[in-house]
Amino acid sequence: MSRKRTGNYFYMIIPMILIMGIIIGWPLVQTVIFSFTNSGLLDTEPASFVGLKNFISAFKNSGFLSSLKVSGLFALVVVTSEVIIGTAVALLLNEPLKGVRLVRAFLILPWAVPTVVNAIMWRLIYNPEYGALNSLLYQLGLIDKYVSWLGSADKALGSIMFADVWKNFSLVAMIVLASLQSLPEQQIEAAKIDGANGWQRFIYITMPYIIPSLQVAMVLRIIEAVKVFDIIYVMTKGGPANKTRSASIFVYQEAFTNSRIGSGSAFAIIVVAFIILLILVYMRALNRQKR
Amino acid sequence: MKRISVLLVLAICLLTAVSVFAADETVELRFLGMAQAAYSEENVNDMTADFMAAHPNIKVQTEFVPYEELRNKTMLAYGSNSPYDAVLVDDIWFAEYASKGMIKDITAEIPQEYKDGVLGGGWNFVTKNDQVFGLPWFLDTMFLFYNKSMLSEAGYEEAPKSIEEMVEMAKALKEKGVVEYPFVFSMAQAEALICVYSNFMEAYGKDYQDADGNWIVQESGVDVLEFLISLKDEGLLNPNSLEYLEEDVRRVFSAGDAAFTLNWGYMYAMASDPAESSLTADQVGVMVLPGKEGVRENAAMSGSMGLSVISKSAHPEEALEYILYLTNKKLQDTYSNLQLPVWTASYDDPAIIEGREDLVAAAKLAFDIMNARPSVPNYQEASAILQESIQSALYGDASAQDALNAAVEQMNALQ
Amino acid sequence: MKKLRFSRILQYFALVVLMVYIIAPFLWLVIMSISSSTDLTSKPLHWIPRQLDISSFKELLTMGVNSRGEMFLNALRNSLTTAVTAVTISLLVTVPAAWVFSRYKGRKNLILAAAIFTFMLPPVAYCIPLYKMLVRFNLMDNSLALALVYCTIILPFCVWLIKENIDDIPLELEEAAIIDGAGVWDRLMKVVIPLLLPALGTVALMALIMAWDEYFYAMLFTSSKSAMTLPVVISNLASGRQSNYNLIAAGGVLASAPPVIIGMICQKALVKGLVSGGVKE
Repeated sequence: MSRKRTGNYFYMIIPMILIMGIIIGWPLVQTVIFSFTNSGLLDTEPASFVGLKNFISAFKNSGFLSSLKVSGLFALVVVTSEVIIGTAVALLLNEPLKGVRLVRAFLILPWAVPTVVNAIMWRLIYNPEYGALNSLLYQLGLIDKYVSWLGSADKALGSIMFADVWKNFSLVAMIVLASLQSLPEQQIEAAKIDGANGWQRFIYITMPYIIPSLQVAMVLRIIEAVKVFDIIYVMTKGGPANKTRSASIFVYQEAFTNSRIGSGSAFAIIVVAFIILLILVYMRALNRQKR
Repeated sequence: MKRISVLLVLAICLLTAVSVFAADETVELRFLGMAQAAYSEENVNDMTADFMAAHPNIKVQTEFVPYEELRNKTMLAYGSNSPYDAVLVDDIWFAEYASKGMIKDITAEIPQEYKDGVLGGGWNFVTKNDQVFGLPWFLDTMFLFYNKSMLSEAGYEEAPKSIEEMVEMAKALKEKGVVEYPFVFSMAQAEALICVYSNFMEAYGKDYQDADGNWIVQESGVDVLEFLISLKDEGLLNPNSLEYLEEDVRRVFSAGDAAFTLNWGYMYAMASDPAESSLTADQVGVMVLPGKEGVRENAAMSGSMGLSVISKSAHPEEALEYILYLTNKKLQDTYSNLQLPVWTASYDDPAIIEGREDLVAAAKLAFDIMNARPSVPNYQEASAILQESIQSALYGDASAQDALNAAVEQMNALQ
Repeated sequence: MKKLRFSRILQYFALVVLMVYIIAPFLWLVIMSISSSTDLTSKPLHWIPRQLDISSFKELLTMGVNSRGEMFLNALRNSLTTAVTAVTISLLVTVPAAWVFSRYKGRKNLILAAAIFTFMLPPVAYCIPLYKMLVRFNLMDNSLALALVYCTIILPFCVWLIKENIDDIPLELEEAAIIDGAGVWDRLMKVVIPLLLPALGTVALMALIMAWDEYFYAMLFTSSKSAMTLPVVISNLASGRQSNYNLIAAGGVLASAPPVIIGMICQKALVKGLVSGGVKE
């Protein structure tokens, strides 16, 4: 069929454009406008344009810069771990083992647990007095003193990351497993006949086959991880000493707790630029690998 | 036709989404309170039910959020067209709310009975520029709780009379193996940390600001912070303190894992409640925090809260009626188990005093001497800055002096 | 041969570890929810509750004026209506659009790219104007408005996945319909949608779970039991000044139940839908 001119069907997109325009497009434009003003939350005093002041002070704000670092580090560690663990788990669950079906059935459980519940669950597990983790490690003799997981400056972020990996490795594993299961049997057989050993078969046949779906999983996870708000907010509210305050939490506090919509918007725009930058870098790296 | 029907479906979707429910006829009030131990949600709901029974034309919807969300929720809802009618206000927020015009000036509407009967300290914190912006709901401070049997195990029969004596006792307790960490405080990155710090500031006789309202905590607060750091470094302070709020502290103390702690008055009854605690009433000591030797005898910092009518409320009279009811003497006496009344006369009422003479005596003294945290319009932000600085000093990331210098620099930059 | 057997043993060992890793945290949450307070605050812990205590579930599921149960059950209803409304709006709007994107490649794909791009933006990028907008139109604390806001998350996701799925439907089928004289609408309703139904079901489920999970907007834009969703109510229940661990755990279990049960039943379909988005590229 010839690709006809599409003008005729434009109206079928209109509803989507309308909704997107109202709830995404227009607010985005407004965020940009706000970012050049000193608007407050309650409109108690009139706002005025302040030019680039918000942006300039943003780059001098050490709290903001360190919150960007937290978000970046969080995304890096969490996504890398999830991809590695997820792939390994998928490979294992693709083996013909007894009981593997049962484990596969439960694989979705971590991902299906709502983020807030996941955060609360791990907060209870990490509790320094009555948490299951401390009690378990103590009873196993691995620690001789209860540890303050979320209250130690050097352990808090790692503990949150661990909780996030628990929930989201399963998404990666499910996606990779599904693509593994559609891997044609003959390809493996043919390679076996050619004398390829297990490792070679994995590198030259399995990996190239699962990489596209792995990429989807990675993109989904990176996008989510850089934006992180819920899990940290519920577990530590950004403490201790703001060591776990992510960029999203920072913007929220600036705009809503400190009632400064103008500079909050400027921070938000910088966060958006930061996310786009991260994703571009990632795309670049992927394309290079493809070649 | 098809085109039209698509648009029609869309229009219906949008209309239903945008349509607003019709307003109700009876007077409906929305009250925003706080999820806490005293007054508990259950208590407030019981009070509210009684109020509604007495006022059949008024329906009150109560909502409770954690302390950390209370101010944000109040402000966000105030900014919207459906604000609350009555809200719970922490003493440090009155300046901000009043300067933004969020809460109603009720100076003229306060009954004489309240003016005469309620503790003077209560009126202090709800009054800004001679205008009364709310009713005191409860007065409170962080009292010093101590485990009497632990102290006597180490040979101390008397409560400490100064900070120095208290630390000495703690060291002895630790050395004798009575308790691993004698102190536990609520020092998570939250307002609770500032409350603890402020109490010790009081004990050292120090102020955050000078008479003109300039921050001087980088000079006045250093030795207080160094004192707290030394407690941690010497292993006297439970290291988990840095992630604890008041309820966590209560659990630790009630489990017999601490000799000293600071907490609000509600803990007194709960610390000897067999369902909540392993301690018995005669083990739980309560007093006003002693001061630093040679500086002052006692120290207390106000952690009181009041009830206000939101200025945008559509039913200000009913809302005032409701908060007057919540603060009336009879009701406060009835629910005084965990929270002492704001009425002067209650403190001489044997029914109120009985079984907790120590607490009531401590409260009488504390309410008389207690000071407030800095009441400035941008308090919340200043507090957040201080919280981070104090914590980073406690973690050893910065010296006490550097941390407070940085905090004051940031606080001065606030508009 | 011996080597092979050894690696099998390793695999079984890994399988057991994996199962424990997946199950243990959530199982512990379930155990906490039916334990008594004293078991949960003893040191070291009582791993197996000495007596069953389901009072927390009772408290959360019993209605009463201004009670926790009322709060919780209302939140359950709000979560459901918000999620269903958001997904319905998103699907109604995206199916025709995705079809056009799939069948008529051209400059319109810029719009598709824009939609997918918005998926990358953090909610903080537009929450401030959204708040002001909701305030202006008196829509704060309103389930339907919240559902509309949820479309910012769900809509880009739907249009991307649905387009990928329509790509899989052979054009020839539609051509046959055109020869029979079918208009655009008929092609969509009679040819595409019936074939798309399974995929639509998957997308809808995914979107429902996403909406069920949402916390940020709900926290900002709702304040009463008429609109607060489960994540907000539960996080309020759990934050700071509440130390009824079993009650918190019970709330978590109840809030997880719908997505976990649905997920475990429909796992295959869910995963297939997700994979379809990427395998071909």
